[in-house]
Amino acid sequence: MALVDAVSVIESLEALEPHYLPWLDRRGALAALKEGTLPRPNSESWKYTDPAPFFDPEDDALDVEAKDTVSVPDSPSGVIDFESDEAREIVLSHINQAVDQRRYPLAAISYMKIDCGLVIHVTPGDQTQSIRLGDLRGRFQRVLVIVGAGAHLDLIETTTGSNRVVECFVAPDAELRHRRLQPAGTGIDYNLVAVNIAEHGSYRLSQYSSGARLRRNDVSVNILGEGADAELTGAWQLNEALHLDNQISVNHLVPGGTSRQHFRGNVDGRAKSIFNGRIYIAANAQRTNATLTNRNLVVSPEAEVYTKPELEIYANDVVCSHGATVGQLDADALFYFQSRGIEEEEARSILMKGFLKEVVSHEDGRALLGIET
Amino acid sequence: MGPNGSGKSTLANVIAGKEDYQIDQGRIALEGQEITALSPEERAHRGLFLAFQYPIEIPGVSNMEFLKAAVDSHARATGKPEISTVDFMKTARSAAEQLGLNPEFLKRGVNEGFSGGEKKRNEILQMLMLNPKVSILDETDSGLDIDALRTVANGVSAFSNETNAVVLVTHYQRLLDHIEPDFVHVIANGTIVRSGDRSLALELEEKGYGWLEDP
Repeated sequence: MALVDAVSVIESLEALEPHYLPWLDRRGALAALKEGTLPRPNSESWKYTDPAPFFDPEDDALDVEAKDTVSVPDSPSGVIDFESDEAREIVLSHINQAVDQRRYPLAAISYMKIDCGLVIHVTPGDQTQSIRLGDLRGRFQRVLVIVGAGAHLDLIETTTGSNRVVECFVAPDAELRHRRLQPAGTGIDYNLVAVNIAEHGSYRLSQYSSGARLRRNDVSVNILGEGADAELTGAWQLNEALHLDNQISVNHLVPGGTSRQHFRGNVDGRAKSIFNGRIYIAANAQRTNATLTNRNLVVSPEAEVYTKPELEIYANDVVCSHGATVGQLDADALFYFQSRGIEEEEARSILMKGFLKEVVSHEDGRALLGIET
Repeated sequence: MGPNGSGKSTLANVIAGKEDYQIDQGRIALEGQEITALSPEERAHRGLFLAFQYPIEIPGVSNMEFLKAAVDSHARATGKPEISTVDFMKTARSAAEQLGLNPEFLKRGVNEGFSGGEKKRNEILQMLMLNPKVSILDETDSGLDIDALRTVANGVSAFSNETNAVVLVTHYQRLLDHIEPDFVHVIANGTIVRSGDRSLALELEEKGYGWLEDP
């Protein structure tokens, strides 16, 4: 595994002369990187995914031909480009407020090299919005999603092969339903979703993934108000030699929050799946109720699955549970099928699809994973 | 029939082809054809059916999907045309109603959230849909209340005819109040120790199994 050339990375960033949004203050990002958050050979969070391709100092904004594909709703809620005048105030008051740049160095790098930004803003009380986020014209993309108090947003995102940071701000009593589709890719993909949830706000992530040459999803959810709730579910189907690394952290920073993580994966061929689900509970976050489950089916002898639940709990009045399994199909279930005349191969296929279907309720998710009936 | 641990369920599972068991001696033949070396699917295609004692729950697969896959597999294996989805649904719904099962259950996961009695009735439903030549019903009567027992018994009786065979594995007599057996075999310690007709079942109900050990 190649090493991350930290010196070159920082030198190239210091030499940057940003043309995009010159009014953005990038010094905090550079300071965070210099404080040494770049991956080292023994970095736990990059243990199974080679970080070097992600931290290539030569990686620069490309001439991307992709058109912006974001649907623009016809209402006071809206989608605003970072470069427009009306965006400036929102951007300055929100950007990096949900991202821990020391913990997520790729987000710090993406902030320094940012070449494309959007604000998706839902005005307080607006319950009607549904927005699709697809390709964006940029290599280092930043999307700020702001759901006002008491509002509701359905955000349907298709991730692309770039460095994208989506920061979400869920106001009191607001709801953000985030559906994320990750089709198979051939490149090096990085995505960070960072979410701040205020009191009685609710964030739901439904993530349906295939793999890429290297694909890294970082998800960081901050519970910042009493009664805030986060539900993160996902499924992946990995075939061939594709790679998928999910690093999830739900951070309970105040009392009375609830969260659930439930992810399932089928890993076939020579594919590789890494999952690290973390529940962090601060010392004052009493009466937290948090659960975490990751179940994996290994289908072929060469498939690799790494799963690690992580609980970091400093409060003493909490309810927390976690479970992680890696296994094969239940022999009794297979026999049940065979005893009804269903051939073993078909039985395996039906059972594997059924295993994912339990956590995939959306049709487009089922289509992406190849588990439609 | 036979006491607990006599080998009734083991026999049923071995006949169905469960791989946990190794056959040291003997053979299994269906209509004169040896099936000892066949896979469970092949035995099913030849007309064998096992109603499980403890049917498994499979939440991610609907009853409808499962049942249709089974019916279609049989059609392919026997060279018959596949039944249309519409006809399949009609037949499945009417069989469900016949057995006192709410047809809406077809949309739920296999045996998901079913009571013990509902699971047993689902086994009989599958039997009716697959129309096997030889059905082995492994303790289908256990866990059924009086009404469910009568419904299942009626379903089995109506299904039974001159061209098929049903093997009821049980250690209670009460199912036989509703179904008249042609033969009764008693297993103890893995061997058939006594054979007879219905009166043998009545004798067992009266005396228990202990008297069979006497020479």
